[in-house]
Amino acid sequence: MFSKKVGHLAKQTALVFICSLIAVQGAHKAAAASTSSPWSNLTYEIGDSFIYDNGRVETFRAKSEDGLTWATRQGSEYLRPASFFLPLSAWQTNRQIGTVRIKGNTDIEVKSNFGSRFTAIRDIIDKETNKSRRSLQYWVCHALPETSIQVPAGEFETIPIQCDRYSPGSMKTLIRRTWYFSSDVGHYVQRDSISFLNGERSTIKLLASLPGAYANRARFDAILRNDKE
Amino acid sequence: MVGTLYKSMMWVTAAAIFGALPTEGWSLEYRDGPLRLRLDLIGSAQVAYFDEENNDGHHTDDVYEWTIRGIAEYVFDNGILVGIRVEYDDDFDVTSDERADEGAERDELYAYVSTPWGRIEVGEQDGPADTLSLHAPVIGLGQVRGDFGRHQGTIALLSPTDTQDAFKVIYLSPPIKGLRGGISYGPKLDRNTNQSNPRRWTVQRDHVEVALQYQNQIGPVALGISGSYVSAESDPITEREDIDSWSVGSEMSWNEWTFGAAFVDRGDSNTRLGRDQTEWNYGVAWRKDDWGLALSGATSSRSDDRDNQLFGLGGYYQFLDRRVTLKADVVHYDEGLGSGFDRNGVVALTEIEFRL
Repeated sequence: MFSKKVGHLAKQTALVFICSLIAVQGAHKAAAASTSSPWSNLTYEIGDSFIYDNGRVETFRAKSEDGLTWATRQGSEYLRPASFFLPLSAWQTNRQIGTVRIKGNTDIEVKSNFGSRFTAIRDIIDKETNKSRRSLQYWVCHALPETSIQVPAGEFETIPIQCDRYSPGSMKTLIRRTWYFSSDVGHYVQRDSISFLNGERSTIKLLASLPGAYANRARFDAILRNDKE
Repeated sequence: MVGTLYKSMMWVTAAAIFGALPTEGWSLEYRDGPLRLRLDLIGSAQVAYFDEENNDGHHTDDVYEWTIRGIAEYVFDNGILVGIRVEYDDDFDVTSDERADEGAERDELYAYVSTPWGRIEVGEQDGPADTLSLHAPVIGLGQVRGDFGRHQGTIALLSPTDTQDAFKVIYLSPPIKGLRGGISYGPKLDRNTNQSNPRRWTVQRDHVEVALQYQNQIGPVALGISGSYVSAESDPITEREDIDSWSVGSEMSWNEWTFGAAFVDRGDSNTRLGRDQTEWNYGVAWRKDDWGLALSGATSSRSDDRDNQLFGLGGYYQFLDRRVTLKADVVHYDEGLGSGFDRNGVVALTEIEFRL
């Protein structure tokens, strides 16, 4: 008897869930609009650099219609949309050339409950064989309430952007990345990752940001060395 | 005789294939732009040793199994994924010198379409009550719901009585703020209909599976909870009860550790005499890179005076570019059969699996 009641309840819950899904999609479209995100109109000077405690360095190189070109500490360049939480648009290594096309809504309104849901279509070409392979990533991102966080570079008011990557094969959430964006810095100051498959976690925190005029390899190395000490 | 031949053929084939392969970077996969074709060939040899009190000393059993799995997928420029998947398997029990089933049989065959707004699957495969239910973590040979049940004892339920690989249509929703769900409908499930007595048949119609799962991060922990329900109508000729089964479960991951537990109510599903079965299962697993260990238990009761207590420990280790996996389980079972009768014992089993 109890089991049948639970069954009835489960069926009703499923119906409510499906209706909610449809309603959320509709409301999302209705809410699509207007206010631009604080990161959409950022301006960087060439050479502006952000140094993180895992050794990662992001150096601004150029702006184009396709996005922002950044360089790693080793000098490898990659293209990324102005919305820093989106996957890289293009990169190149010794072995591969990668390009990513984003389909879907990538606008996040900070004070809205509705996030963005998009597909990253990755085409990777093997330089040796010249063969390409395509893969998919599904993402959903939304802004969380503003929060104050402490990182080695200081204490900042941040807007956390939480992005869940889910599997095209099972719809299961695979990984969650949370980016803490600071308007004062003009970049993210912390990034957390957790895997829903195995619970593995990682966090990177901003050590320092350097204006282009003062950014060079020796300074990067000194900042990273000081952090280790 | 047939068993010896079967065993010899399997080892010779495995040795020939593995001997001819480079040790790394080789797979039966073809990728060309948006197209992906993959073939998995899996062979395994399992040896079990079991000892049941009141049952005439120790016994051993060998089982050989092979599986062929094929996947064809295409990713369109707009990000929609379409594909088809098929799986065939066959196993052979050396002790009884016979195949465990009707020979090579299709395990799964289904087509699918994935979009950011959900995935639709049509064909023969497990339903959402099976795939979304959270419960005690099991690895390798499956511990309390594992291969020990091939040799002795009764396996745990872990999740609601499901509709196995019966033909069905499934919708899996994407996660929305951590919540996702699945629903399926299948017109018919037939099992054992080659038996002469229809009371041994399983014939069910209009099966529906519904499942919800919520995942979130709490501090350093990835937490999930789930609820699922299955219903189906049994054909009156079988004199069995309808399927009406549900479960709630939870899983928590912290670094390499995973903890999980579930309560399952099977009710009288697919039984003739009224079973009213419930089960608690619980467990912990530790996984790192190429190896893992898991410990799980299950306690079930049915029909007032029957119960089943299971406790299992198992692990796996992968090597040679993950093409070879060693697996092992030890499971203790203690089953009350009613009217004061019971059976209890231990099954220890190990398996080597080759994968191409």
